[in-house]
Amino acid sequence: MINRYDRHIKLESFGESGQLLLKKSKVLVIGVGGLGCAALPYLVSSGVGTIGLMDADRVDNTNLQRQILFSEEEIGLPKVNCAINRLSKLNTEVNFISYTFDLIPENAEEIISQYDVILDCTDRFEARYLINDACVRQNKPWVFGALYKFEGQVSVFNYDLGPTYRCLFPFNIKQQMLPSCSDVGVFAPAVGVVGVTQASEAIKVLLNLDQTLSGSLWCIDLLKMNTYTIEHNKNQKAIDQIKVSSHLGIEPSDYIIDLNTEFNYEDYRWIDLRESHETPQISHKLVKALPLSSMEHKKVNWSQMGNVVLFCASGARARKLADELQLSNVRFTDLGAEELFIKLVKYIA
Amino acid sequence: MITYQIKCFGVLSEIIGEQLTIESNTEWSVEQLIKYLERDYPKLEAIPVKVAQNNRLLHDSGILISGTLSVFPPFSGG
Repeated sequence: MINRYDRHIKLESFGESGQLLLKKSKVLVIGVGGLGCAALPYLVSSGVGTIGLMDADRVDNTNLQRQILFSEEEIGLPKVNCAINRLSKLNTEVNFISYTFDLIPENAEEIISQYDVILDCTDRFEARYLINDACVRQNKPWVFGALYKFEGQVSVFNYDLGPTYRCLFPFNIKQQMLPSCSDVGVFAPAVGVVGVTQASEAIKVLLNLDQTLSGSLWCIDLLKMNTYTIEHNKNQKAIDQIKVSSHLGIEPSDYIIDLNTEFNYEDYRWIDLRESHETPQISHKLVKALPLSSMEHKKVNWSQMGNVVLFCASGARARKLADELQLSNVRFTDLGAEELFIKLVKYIA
Repeated sequence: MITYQIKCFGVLSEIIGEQLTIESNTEWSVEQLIKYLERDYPKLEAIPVKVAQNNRLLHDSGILISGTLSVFPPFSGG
Protein backbone atom coordinates (compact mmCIF):
# COMPACT_ATOMS: atom_id res chain seq x y z
CA MET A 1 0.00 0.00 0.00
CA ILE A 2 1.25 3.49 -0.84
CA ASN A 3 2.15 5.42 2.29
CA ARG A 4 -0.83 7.58 3.24
CA TYR A 5 1.50 10.57 3.40
CA ASP A 6 2.88 9.94 -0.12
CA ARG A 7 1.76 13.34 -1.48
CA HIS A 8 3.53 15.16 1.34
CA ILE A 9 6.64 13.00 1.13
CA LYS A 10 6.93 13.83 -2.57
CA LEU A 11 7.24 17.53 -1.68
CA GLU A 12 10.95 18.33 -1.67
CA SER A 13 10.67 20.38 1.49
CA PHE A 14 8.95 17.50 3.31
CA GLY A 15 10.48 14.17 2.28
CA GLU A 16 10.33 11.16 4.60
CA SER A 17 12.33 12.99 7.25
CA GLY A 18 9.82 15.84 7.32
CA GLN A 19 6.91 13.46 7.65
CA LEU A 20 8.69 11.63 10.46
CA LEU A 21 9.29 14.95 12.20
CA LEU A 22 5.54 15.70 12.02
CA LYS A 23 4.83 12.30 13.58
CA LYS A 24 7.12 13.14 16.49
CA SER A 25 5.58 16.61 16.93
CA LYS A 26 3.09 17.79 19.52
CA VAL A 27 0.60 20.58 18.75
CA LEU A 28 -1.83 22.18 21.18
CA VAL A 29 -5.04 23.71 19.78
CA ILE A 30 -6.55 26.12 22.30
CA GLY A 31 -10.21 26.70 21.45
CA VAL A 32 -12.25 24.17 19.49
CA GLY A 33 -14.65 26.70 17.96
CA GLY A 34 -14.64 27.97 14.37
CA LEU A 35 -10.86 28.31 14.01
CA GLY A 36 -10.08 25.07 15.85
CA CYS A 37 -12.57 23.09 13.74
CA ALA A 38 -10.94 24.43 10.56
CA ALA A 39 -7.33 23.89 11.64
CA LEU A 40 -7.68 20.47 13.29
CA PRO A 41 -8.63 18.28 10.28
CA TYR A 42 -5.46 19.36 8.42
CA LEU A 43 -3.20 18.84 11.43
CA VAL A 44 -4.74 15.38 11.87
CA SER A 45 -4.71 14.30 8.21
CA SER A 46 -1.14 15.61 7.82
CA GLY A 47 0.01 13.22 10.51
CA VAL A 48 0.99 15.42 13.46
CA GLY A 49 1.76 12.74 16.07
CA THR A 50 0.19 14.24 19.19
CA ILE A 51 -2.58 16.84 19.25
CA GLY A 52 -3.98 18.46 22.39
CA LEU A 53 -7.47 19.97 22.22
CA MET A 54 -8.55 22.49 24.84
CA ASP A 55 -12.05 23.92 25.30
CA ALA A 56 -14.50 24.00 28.22
CA ASP A 57 -17.55 24.66 26.01
CA ARG A 58 -20.34 22.40 24.82
CA VAL A 59 -21.76 22.34 21.29
CA ASP A 60 -24.46 24.96 20.76
CA ASN A 61 -26.98 25.34 17.96
CA THR A 62 -25.38 28.64 16.82
CA ASN A 63 -21.97 26.92 16.46
CA LEU A 64 -23.04 24.65 13.59
CA GLN A 65 -22.89 27.43 10.94
CA ARG A 66 -19.06 27.42 11.04
CA GLN A 67 -17.81 24.80 13.52
CA ILE A 68 -17.73 22.01 10.98
CA LEU A 69 -16.59 19.15 13.21
CA PHE A 70 -19.92 19.08 15.07
CA SER A 71 -23.27 17.62 14.08
CA GLU A 72 -26.84 18.43 15.09
CA GLU A 73 -27.13 15.42 17.39
CA GLU A 74 -24.08 16.60 19.38
CA ILE A 75 -25.72 19.81 20.67
CA GLY A 76 -25.11 19.97 24.42
CA LEU A 77 -22.07 17.65 24.38
CA PRO A 78 -18.50 18.77 25.24
CA LYS A 79 -16.78 20.15 22.13
CA VAL A 80 -13.44 18.49 22.83
CA ASN A 81 -14.99 15.00 23.10
CA CYS A 82 -17.07 15.45 19.93
CA ALA A 83 -14.07 16.75 17.97
CA ILE A 84 -11.80 13.89 19.06
CA ASN A 85 -14.51 11.38 18.20
CA ARG A 86 -14.71 12.78 14.67
CA LEU A 87 -10.98 13.37 14.14
CA SER A 88 -9.90 9.94 15.35
CA LYS A 89 -11.83 8.46 12.40
CA LEU A 90 -9.77 10.65 10.05
CA ASN A 91 -6.47 9.31 11.32
CA THR A 92 -6.10 6.52 13.89
CA GLU A 93 -2.34 7.13 14.11
CA VAL A 94 -2.77 10.44 15.99
CA ASN A 95 -2.56 10.54 19.77
CA PHE A 96 -5.22 12.96 21.08
CA ILE A 97 -5.09 14.63 24.48
CA SER A 98 -8.24 16.29 25.78
CA TYR A 99 -8.48 19.32 28.08
CA THR A 100 -12.13 20.03 28.85
CA PHE A 101 -11.30 23.18 30.80
CA ASP A 102 -9.99 26.66 30.00
CA LEU A 103 -6.43 27.89 29.98
CA ILE A 104 -5.86 29.98 33.13
CA PRO A 105 -2.71 31.63 34.52
CA GLU A 106 -2.33 28.75 37.01
CA ASN A 107 -2.19 25.95 34.38
CA ALA A 108 -0.93 27.78 31.27
CA GLU A 109 2.82 27.30 31.53
CA GLU A 110 2.65 23.67 32.66
CA ILE A 111 0.39 22.62 29.76
CA ILE A 112 2.07 24.74 27.07
CA SER A 113 5.52 23.43 28.07
CA GLN A 114 4.49 19.97 26.82
CA TYR A 115 3.95 21.04 23.18
CA ASP A 116 6.09 22.18 20.23
CA VAL A 117 3.63 24.67 18.69
CA ILE A 118 0.46 26.25 20.08
CA LEU A 119 -2.53 27.36 17.96
CA ASP A 120 -4.58 30.21 19.37
CA CYS A 121 -8.09 29.42 18.16
CA THR A 122 -9.81 31.38 20.93
CA ASP A 123 -12.12 34.36 20.60
CA ARG A 124 -10.99 36.49 23.53
CA PHE A 125 -8.14 38.95 24.10
CA GLU A 126 -7.68 37.66 27.65
CA ALA A 127 -6.81 34.21 26.27
CA ARG A 128 -4.47 35.68 23.64
CA TYR A 129 -2.41 37.63 26.18
CA LEU A 130 -2.28 34.57 28.42
CA ILE A 131 -1.16 32.28 25.55
CA ASN A 132 1.41 34.87 24.48
CA ASP A 133 2.89 35.35 27.93
CA ALA A 134 3.03 31.62 28.73
CA CYS A 135 4.62 30.89 25.31
CA VAL A 136 7.24 33.60 25.84
CA ARG A 137 8.14 32.17 29.24
CA GLN A 138 8.24 28.61 27.93
CA ASN A 139 9.95 29.63 24.68
CA LYS A 140 7.22 28.13 22.46
CA PRO A 141 6.07 29.47 19.08
CA TRP A 142 2.36 30.11 18.62
CA VAL A 143 0.09 30.75 15.67
CA PHE A 144 -2.43 33.55 16.05
CA GLY A 145 -5.71 33.73 14.14
CA ALA A 146 -8.61 36.16 14.58
CA LEU A 147 -11.64 37.44 12.71
CA TYR A 148 -13.95 40.37 12.24
CA LYS A 149 -17.00 39.65 10.05
CA PHE A 150 -15.50 38.91 6.57
CA GLU A 151 -11.93 39.80 7.56
CA GLY A 152 -9.20 37.70 9.14
CA GLN A 153 -5.70 38.11 10.57
CA VAL A 154 -2.99 35.44 11.00
CA SER A 155 0.52 35.71 12.39
CA VAL A 156 3.21 33.55 14.00
CA PHE A 157 4.51 34.85 17.31
CA ASN A 158 7.54 34.09 19.47
CA TYR A 159 9.21 32.03 16.72
CA ASP A 160 12.81 32.16 15.61
CA LEU A 161 13.57 35.24 17.76
CA GLY A 162 10.65 37.08 16.12
CA PRO A 163 8.09 39.42 17.68
CA THR A 164 5.30 38.46 20.09
CA TYR A 165 1.66 39.56 20.35
CA ARG A 166 2.64 42.20 22.92
CA CYS A 167 5.13 43.64 20.41
CA LEU A 168 2.14 44.29 18.15
CA PHE A 169 -0.44 45.16 20.82
CA PRO A 170 1.53 45.86 24.03
CA PHE A 171 -1.38 47.12 26.09
CA ASN A 172 -3.95 44.83 27.58
CA ILE A 173 -6.99 45.10 25.33
CA LYS A 174 -10.23 44.70 27.22
CA GLN A 175 -12.77 42.47 25.47
CA GLN A 176 -15.56 45.03 25.89
CA MET A 177 -13.58 47.58 23.83
CA LEU A 178 -14.31 45.69 20.61
CA PRO A 179 -17.32 43.79 19.31
CA SER A 180 -17.24 39.97 19.32
CA CYS A 181 -18.56 37.47 16.73
CA SER A 182 -21.64 36.88 18.86
CA ASP A 183 -22.36 40.64 18.72
CA VAL A 184 -21.71 41.35 15.04
CA GLY A 185 -21.67 37.97 13.27
CA VAL A 186 -18.94 36.24 11.30
CA PHE A 187 -18.71 34.83 7.77
CA ALA A 188 -18.25 31.05 8.05
CA PRO A 189 -15.82 30.62 5.12
CA ALA A 190 -13.60 33.39 6.57
CA VAL A 191 -13.28 31.27 9.72
CA GLY A 192 -12.27 28.33 7.53
CA VAL A 193 -9.62 30.28 5.59
CA VAL A 194 -8.04 31.66 8.77
CA GLY A 195 -8.11 28.32 10.63
CA VAL A 196 -6.62 26.39 7.70
CA THR A 197 -3.92 29.06 7.32
CA GLN A 198 -3.08 28.61 11.01
CA ALA A 199 -2.68 24.86 10.46
CA SER A 200 -0.43 25.57 7.47
CA GLU A 201 1.77 27.95 9.50
CA ALA A 202 1.97 25.45 12.38
CA ILE A 203 3.21 22.70 10.04
CA LYS A 204 5.74 25.10 8.48
CA VAL A 205 7.04 26.00 11.94
CA LEU A 206 7.31 22.32 12.92
CA LEU A 207 9.29 21.52 9.75
CA ASN A 208 11.27 24.74 9.90
CA LEU A 209 10.13 25.66 6.37
CA ASP A 210 10.96 29.06 4.89
CA GLN A 211 8.87 32.14 5.03
CA THR A 212 6.47 31.77 7.92
CA LEU A 213 4.33 34.70 9.10
CA SER A 214 6.77 35.44 11.94
CA GLY A 215 7.13 39.25 11.97
CA SER A 216 4.22 39.64 9.55
CA LEU A 217 0.51 40.09 10.07
CA TRP A 218 -1.38 38.52 7.16
CA CYS A 219 -4.79 40.07 6.60
CA ILE A 220 -7.57 38.91 4.30
CA ASP A 221 -10.97 40.35 3.42
CA LEU A 222 -13.18 37.63 1.91
CA LEU A 223 -15.82 40.16 0.87
CA LYS A 224 -13.51 42.40 -1.18
CA MET A 225 -11.04 39.58 -1.92
CA ASN A 226 -8.09 41.68 -0.74
CA THR A 227 -5.06 40.33 1.05
CA TYR A 228 -2.17 42.30 2.46
CA THR A 229 0.75 41.57 4.73
CA ILE A 230 2.08 44.07 7.25
CA GLU A 231 5.57 43.67 8.64
CA HIS A 232 6.02 44.51 12.28
CA ASN A 233 9.02 44.74 14.56
CA LYS A 234 10.06 43.11 17.76
CA ASN A 235 9.78 45.12 20.98
CA GLN A 236 12.40 43.62 23.27
CA LYS A 237 11.25 45.78 26.19
CA ALA A 238 7.73 44.29 25.98
CA ILE A 239 9.20 40.76 25.85
CA ASP A 240 11.53 41.36 28.81
CA GLN A 241 8.58 42.71 30.80
CA ILE A 242 6.67 39.42 30.31
CA LYS A 243 9.62 37.45 31.65
CA VAL A 244 9.78 39.41 34.92
CA SER A 245 6.04 40.12 35.42
CA SER A 246 4.38 38.61 38.48
CA HIS A 247 1.25 37.98 36.42
CA LEU A 248 0.51 36.06 33.21
CA GLY A 249 -1.97 37.52 30.73
CA ILE A 250 -4.08 40.61 31.35
CA GLU A 251 -3.18 42.16 34.64
CA PRO A 252 -6.02 43.78 36.56
CA SER A 253 -5.27 47.44 37.29
CA ASP A 254 -4.68 48.25 40.97
CA TYR A 255 -6.28 51.64 40.48
CA ILE A 256 -9.80 50.75 39.34
CA ILE A 257 -12.52 51.72 41.80
CA ASP A 258 -15.54 49.58 42.52
CA LEU A 259 -18.70 51.71 42.52
CA ASN A 260 -20.83 49.31 44.52
CA THR A 261 -24.04 50.17 46.31
CA GLU A 262 -22.17 51.04 49.52
CA PHE A 263 -19.99 53.56 47.70
CA ASN A 264 -20.05 57.12 49.02
CA TYR A 265 -19.80 59.41 45.98
CA GLU A 266 -19.44 62.59 48.04
CA ASP A 267 -16.08 61.49 49.44
CA TYR A 268 -14.45 61.91 46.01
CA ARG A 269 -13.65 64.61 43.48
CA TRP A 270 -14.62 63.41 39.99
CA ILE A 271 -12.20 64.37 37.22
CA ASP A 272 -13.60 64.43 33.67
CA LEU A 273 -10.70 63.81 31.25
CA ARG A 274 -12.81 64.17 28.12
CA GLU A 275 -12.33 66.97 25.62
CA SER A 276 -14.67 69.98 25.78
CA HIS A 277 -16.59 68.96 22.63
CA GLU A 278 -17.47 65.48 23.92
CA THR A 279 -21.04 64.86 24.97
CA PRO A 280 -22.86 64.68 27.28
CA GLN A 281 -21.54 67.83 28.93
CA ILE A 282 -21.49 67.25 32.66
CA SER A 283 -22.02 70.02 35.17
CA HIS A 284 -21.94 68.90 38.78
CA LYS A 285 -20.49 70.37 41.95
CA LEU A 286 -18.17 67.38 42.46
CA VAL A 287 -17.00 67.14 38.83
CA LYS A 288 -13.97 69.00 37.54
CA ALA A 289 -13.20 69.07 33.80
CA LEU A 290 -9.56 68.45 32.92
CA PRO A 291 -9.34 67.72 29.18
CA LEU A 292 -6.23 65.63 28.52
CA SER A 293 -5.24 67.64 25.43
CA SER A 294 -4.93 70.80 27.59
CA MET A 295 -2.04 69.09 29.38
CA GLU A 296 -3.34 70.66 32.61
CA HIS A 297 -3.04 67.26 34.28
CA LYS A 298 0.74 67.65 34.11
CA LYS A 299 0.51 70.73 36.35
CA VAL A 300 -1.80 69.20 38.96
CA ASN A 301 -0.26 68.18 42.26
CA TRP A 302 -2.22 64.94 42.37
CA SER A 303 -0.94 63.67 45.71
CA GLN A 304 -2.39 66.81 47.39
CA MET A 305 -5.79 66.43 45.74
CA GLY A 306 -7.46 64.17 48.28
CA ASN A 307 -9.41 61.20 46.92
CA VAL A 308 -10.17 61.55 43.23
CA VAL A 309 -11.71 59.33 40.56
CA LEU A 310 -10.76 59.84 36.91
CA PHE A 311 -13.28 59.13 34.18
CA CYS A 312 -13.71 59.62 30.40
CA ALA A 313 -16.00 58.20 27.68
CA SER A 314 -14.99 54.56 28.11
CA GLY A 315 -12.42 54.44 30.93
CA ALA A 316 -9.46 53.97 28.57
CA ARG A 317 -7.88 57.41 29.09
CA ALA A 318 -8.73 57.34 32.79
CA ARG A 319 -7.08 53.95 33.24
CA LYS A 320 -3.97 55.06 31.38
CA LEU A 321 -3.50 58.18 33.51
CA ALA A 322 -4.24 56.38 36.81
CA ASP A 323 -1.76 53.63 35.91
CA GLU A 324 0.83 56.28 35.05
CA LEU A 325 0.37 58.30 38.25
CA GLN A 326 0.44 55.24 40.55
CA LEU A 327 -1.02 57.16 43.51
CA SER A 328 -3.23 55.57 46.13
CA ASN A 329 -5.57 58.60 46.19
CA VAL A 330 -6.06 58.63 42.40
CA ARG A 331 -8.40 55.95 41.08
CA PHE A 332 -10.33 55.54 37.85
CA THR A 333 -13.66 54.10 36.78
CA ASP A 334 -14.37 52.28 33.54
CA LEU A 335 -17.95 53.52 33.61
CA GLY A 336 -18.70 55.82 30.69
CA ALA A 337 -19.38 59.50 31.42
CA GLU A 338 -23.10 59.20 30.74
CA GLU A 339 -23.59 56.21 33.02
CA LEU A 340 -21.49 57.82 35.74
CA PHE A 341 -23.44 61.07 35.58
CA ILE A 342 -26.70 59.18 36.17
CA LYS A 343 -25.17 57.64 39.29
CA LEU A 344 -23.79 60.96 40.57
CA VAL A 345 -27.17 62.63 40.20
CA LYS A 346 -28.91 59.66 41.86
CA TYR A 347 -26.63 59.48 44.90
CA ILE A 348 -25.82 63.16 45.44
CA ALA A 349 -28.58 65.66 45.87
CA MET B 1 0.60 69.97 1.02
CA ILE B 2 0.64 66.53 2.60
CA THR B 3 -2.26 64.24 1.66
CA TYR B 4 -3.06 61.07 3.57
CA GLN B 5 -5.40 58.56 1.97
CA ILE B 6 -6.49 56.40 4.85
CA LYS B 7 -7.85 52.88 4.36
CA CYS B 8 -9.70 51.50 7.36
CA PHE B 9 -10.08 47.87 8.34
CA GLY B 10 -12.26 45.88 10.71
CA VAL B 11 -14.48 47.88 13.04
CA LEU B 12 -12.62 51.08 12.07
CA SER B 13 -14.27 51.00 8.64
CA GLU B 14 -17.60 51.24 10.44
CA ILE B 15 -16.54 54.06 12.77
CA ILE B 16 -14.53 56.16 10.30
CA GLY B 17 -15.69 54.82 6.93
CA GLU B 18 -13.74 52.64 4.52
CA GLN B 19 -11.64 55.52 3.23
CA LEU B 20 -10.79 58.99 4.42
CA THR B 21 -8.56 61.70 2.97
CA ILE B 22 -6.81 64.16 5.27
CA GLU B 23 -4.70 67.10 4.16
CA SER B 24 -2.08 68.72 6.32
CA ASN B 25 0.64 71.36 5.99
CA THR B 26 3.23 69.21 7.70
CA GLU B 27 4.04 65.52 7.98
CA TRP B 28 2.38 64.01 11.01
CA SER B 29 3.59 61.37 13.41
CA VAL B 30 1.41 58.29 13.99
CA GLU B 31 0.50 59.75 17.38
CA GLN B 32 -0.67 63.02 15.80
CA LEU B 33 -2.81 61.13 13.28
CA ILE B 34 -4.42 59.01 16.00
CA LYS B 35 -5.11 62.11 18.14
CA TYR B 36 -6.72 63.79 15.11
CA LEU B 37 -8.91 60.75 14.43
CA GLU B 38 -9.87 60.39 18.11
CA ARG B 39 -11.01 64.01 18.19
CA ASP B 40 -13.39 63.43 15.27
CA TYR B 41 -14.35 59.88 16.28
CA PRO B 42 -14.32 59.65 20.12
CA LYS B 43 -15.21 55.92 19.95
CA LEU B 44 -11.63 55.31 18.80
CA GLU B 45 -10.17 56.21 22.17
CA ALA B 46 -10.91 52.73 23.51
CA ILE B 47 -9.38 50.94 20.51
CA PRO B 48 -5.65 50.44 20.07
CA VAL B 49 -5.34 51.67 16.48
CA LYS B 50 -2.32 50.57 14.45
CA VAL B 51 -1.02 52.48 11.44
CA ALA B 52 0.95 50.99 8.55
CA GLN B 53 2.53 52.61 5.53
CA ASN B 54 4.15 50.75 2.63
CA ASN B 55 3.21 47.45 4.31
CA ARG B 56 5.17 48.27 7.44
CA LEU B 57 3.73 48.96 10.85
CA LEU B 58 4.90 52.25 12.34
CA HIS B 59 5.59 53.14 15.96
CA ASP B 60 3.69 56.02 17.59
CA SER B 61 6.60 58.38 16.93
CA GLY B 62 6.97 57.23 13.29
CA ILE B 63 6.57 59.98 10.68
CA LEU B 64 3.93 59.50 7.98
CA ILE B 65 4.87 60.59 4.48
CA SER B 66 2.27 61.78 1.99
CA GLY B 67 0.40 58.77 0.54
CA THR B 68 -1.73 55.80 1.49
CA LEU B 69 -2.02 54.60 5.08
CA SER B 70 -3.70 51.50 6.51
CA VAL B 71 -5.30 51.80 9.94
CA PHE B 72 -6.51 48.70 11.68
CA PRO B 73 -7.62 47.45 15.08
CA PRO B 74 -6.88 44.12 16.74
CA PHE B 75 -9.40 41.40 15.80
CA SER B 76 -10.83 39.24 18.55
CA GLY B 77 -13.22 36.78 16.90
CA GLY B 78 -12.53 33.10 16.52
